[in-house]
Amino acid sequence: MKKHSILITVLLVSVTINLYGQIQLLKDSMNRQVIKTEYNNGFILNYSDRLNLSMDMIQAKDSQGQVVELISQKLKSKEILTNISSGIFTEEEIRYLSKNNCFISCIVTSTGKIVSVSIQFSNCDPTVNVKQLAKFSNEIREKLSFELTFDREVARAGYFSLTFPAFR
Amino acid sequence: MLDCFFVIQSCHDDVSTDGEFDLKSGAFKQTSIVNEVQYWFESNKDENGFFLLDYADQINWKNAQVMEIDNSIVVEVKLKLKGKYRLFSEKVPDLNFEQRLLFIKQEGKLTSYLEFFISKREQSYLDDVEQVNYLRRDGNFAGTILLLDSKGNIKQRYFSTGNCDEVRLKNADETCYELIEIFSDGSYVVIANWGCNGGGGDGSSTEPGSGSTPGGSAGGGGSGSVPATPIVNNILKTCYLNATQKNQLEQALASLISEGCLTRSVYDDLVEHGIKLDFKINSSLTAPASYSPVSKSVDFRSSTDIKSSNLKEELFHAFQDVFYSGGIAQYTSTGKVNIEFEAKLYKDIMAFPCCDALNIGTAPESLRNSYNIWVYSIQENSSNLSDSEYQFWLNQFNIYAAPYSSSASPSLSSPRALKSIISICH
Repeated sequence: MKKHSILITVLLVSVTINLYGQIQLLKDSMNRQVIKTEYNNGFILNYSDRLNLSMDMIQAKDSQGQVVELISQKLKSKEILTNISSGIFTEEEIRYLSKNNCFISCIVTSTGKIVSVSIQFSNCDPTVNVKQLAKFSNEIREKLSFELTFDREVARAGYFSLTFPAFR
Repeated sequence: MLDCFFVIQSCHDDVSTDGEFDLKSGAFKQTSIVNEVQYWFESNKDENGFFLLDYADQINWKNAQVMEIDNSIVVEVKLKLKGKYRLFSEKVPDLNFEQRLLFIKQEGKLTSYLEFFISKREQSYLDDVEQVNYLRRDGNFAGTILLLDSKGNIKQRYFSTGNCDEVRLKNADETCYELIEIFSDGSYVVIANWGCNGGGGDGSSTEPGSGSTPGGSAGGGGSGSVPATPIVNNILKTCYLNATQKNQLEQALASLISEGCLTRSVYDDLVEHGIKLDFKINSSLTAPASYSPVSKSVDFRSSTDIKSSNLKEELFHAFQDVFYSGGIAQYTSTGKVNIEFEAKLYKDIMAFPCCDALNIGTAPESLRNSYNIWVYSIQENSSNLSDSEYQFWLNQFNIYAAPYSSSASPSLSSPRALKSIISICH
């Protein structure tokens, strides 16, 4: 019995250390992935804050179990986004990233909360400072949110993918 | 039915003496008929969606007046209004008025009206439901009685000089009436008018805005004005909306048009082609708004759904209906996905952040990302809207956005309606 308890404790500590390590790794790093786009033989270079890159996009539903439709979406607020950008990047860096089609792609819950932020580049592979991108991603996730409107009242929460140019 | 009642019942004294239409309030008052009417009223919101209910804080069911005539029963219920209101006509400024709900049960069927008693007589006289009601007034009642349906249309209009000579007015005799709400700062807003559009019984026009409180012998600032919903009126066939809703629609359209060139061009095109639409509330809708290419109407689920964000896609459907030869009713099965995806893309290429179309279904995240970035490439440069890429995304939409899936129409493989609007704006 005593041996079992020690074993369980060791296992728990080990799992916790492992998870902690992953979170720390994600906090100042990003998961790089190249997504091929079928429609134009191009690609999206994706720097994600997640290890799991094939997130299950659960659909938001109404009380009848029918999928609700997003009618409009608004970023709250663009001013905060500008402040985040200018606090992390120099003007020159912003110009460079902007020239390289830098987008922010968010996974958003139906309440408008951002749960994941990826920094994306369309058809280009610019030289980037990953720590800067990670900080950018973290601050967006923590400080921004969306105002979403649906065609019906949401009874079961779901996820939506929303994208916008990082420096427009 | 109404004509018959009213003309015969024009004078209280006559009614009382001949006894033919004797008031039978005792037999019915506060009994099951009031409960029945109240239940019917509350269960049929659409049929009983009178605009004035938005301004009322009490329906006085407890003191409902019940009368019986032949095989019909008439129930009148006073409406207590929330704020301060005044009524003006172009002939007589600042009239007193009393407002009630009127129910007539005939052959088992209930019909409802909004009833106004308009007079220079003192307010306390008009307020007395036993003195002044649908079936009885004393011979000294001088004024007008209006009956409106739930769409704000005048169904009957009577005038009495006070000498027991009540007559039903013809259109040519109609007077323009404007009902205004007065606010504590002295500003006011016209919440409804009747007979101000050259006859025809339109009770739904409204004039948003404010000014100094009208009064005095001049008759006030709002009297006899041109309908102040020009944006709506340009594309309006029949308005089934009440004054408040029509005002909301005007604001929603104004907001939509001011969004940018694409939305403005859609509206302008409808106006240039002389397209007229019906606008109404349809509480059975699951979506907030819907365009019907068959009835050429835009329906809203409720008043709160009259918004520019809900109008955007529906007006584009109306535009597609004009643009595509033979209209879009032919695409309700085959081609539905083409019509819908083109409309979603129209919305998406104006969206920041983007996008809606592939968020509708079960598309994987990477595909959604690719779509979003493709849409932004069109936002940056509209020449990126190539037919081959459009067809790729149309196919993806058809696969993943289940509610809109259908057989695709080859004749709609290019988004010609959308491209025509884009070409105007570039």
